[in-house]
Amino acid sequence: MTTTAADRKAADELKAEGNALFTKGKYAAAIEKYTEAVTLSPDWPVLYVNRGMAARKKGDWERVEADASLALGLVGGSSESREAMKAHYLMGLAMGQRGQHERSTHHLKKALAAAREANDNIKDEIWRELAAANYSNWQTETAARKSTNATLRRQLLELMGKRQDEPLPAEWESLFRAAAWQDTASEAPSQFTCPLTMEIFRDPVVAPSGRSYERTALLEHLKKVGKFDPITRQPIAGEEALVPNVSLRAAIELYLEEHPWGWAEVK
Amino acid sequence: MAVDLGRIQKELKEIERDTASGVTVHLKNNSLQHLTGYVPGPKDTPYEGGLFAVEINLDNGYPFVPPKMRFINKVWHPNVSSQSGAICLDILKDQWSPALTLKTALLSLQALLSSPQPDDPQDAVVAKQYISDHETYKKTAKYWTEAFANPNATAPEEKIAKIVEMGFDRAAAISALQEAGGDENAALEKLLG
Repeated sequence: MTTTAADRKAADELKAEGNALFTKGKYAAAIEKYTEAVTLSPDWPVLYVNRGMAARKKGDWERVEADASLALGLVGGSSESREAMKAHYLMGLAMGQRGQHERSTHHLKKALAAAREANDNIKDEIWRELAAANYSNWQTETAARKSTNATLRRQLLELMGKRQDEPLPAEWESLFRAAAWQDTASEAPSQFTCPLTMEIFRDPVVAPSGRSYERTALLEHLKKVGKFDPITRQPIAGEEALVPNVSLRAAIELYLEEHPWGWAEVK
Repeated sequence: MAVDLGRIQKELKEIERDTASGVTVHLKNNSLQHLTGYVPGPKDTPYEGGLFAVEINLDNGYPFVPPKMRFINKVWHPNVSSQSGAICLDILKDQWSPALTLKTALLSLQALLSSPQPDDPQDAVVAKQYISDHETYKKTAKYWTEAFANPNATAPEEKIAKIVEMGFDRAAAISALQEAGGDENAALEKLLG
């Protein structure tokens, strides 16, 4: 079925009405408008994305998943467009709701990469969702590992003919400690933390001095304290003088994969 | 904008871990915005042997506004008000940067005790004495250190214990005793407000 120009125009008007309702928080009414628009122009991905966004607000995750899937089908393999980015985002959220961690982070990562590419403001929100998903996954995994360790310890004590409240020989204890390294939260290396927020970087930017700072914190400093580098005190003209530190961000993402407790900090 | 509580907690952890710096920070009444810092008097100065308590208030906006600091015990120093404990130090005013921390600020206070700046005085009387009668300045500063910043004399354990027994917070008891120069009753009056 091909959409005529008149249908597309009518769909566009319905979309605008839906968007207006959405901003007013009238999500159910917005969904109705988007659905009407879909019947007129079923091959227009933005309609499914917007309907999915409204369904997300209502907590209707089946709808979110269905619409994200329809939108992704229409945009094909390209993740260039804003629609594709948002569709991946919605799919990531919906998969997270279903407890499908791998698929959830797969889509969230795609959405994040596209949002960063386009420097869309939604990138911070996606990053927080990705961090929250990874953190809750770590919590699940760490609980499972802890209970496995406890079982192993019990069995070991039994085999050694010891009481359950007796300590294991030191070598065995150190083996258990080594196995728990991923479950033990510690401090992130200082090169991965912003000197202003003292937390692991989310979106590091390089100042002309070569120092990196968390973008939002440095912007607040420039606005409230002064237009100078917080550490070297050399002048910084403004936001345009800052460059995203892509390499540091990549290094941190690798670090977080190996030290997943750190996700708690970047949520 | 509110204070960055996450950052303050990180700062406190870092200070606790770094015992080598000598400075410490403690909560006052369990609020992260009202703290008490302690700075040991630097060696080879009239302040040696003293432990100087610093009242720290973190306003909304910290770390994008400087922390407010003043000495709780009396200090004889050109850049510290002998009356109020107010401190004249550029980094606590227009030279503040959010890359500085409570620890670095307290270490700067320690450096200020070592190197007074009489050209930019907070207390004109002390500054004048520092320049015109340096020996008397040194004697007075040493005497004030022993009288008001001696941790054993102003806040001995039994006095702290007595006040804590009355239901006050330990850190609050110590700083009140220090502010009162070791006078238990005056300290209690301060605590009761």
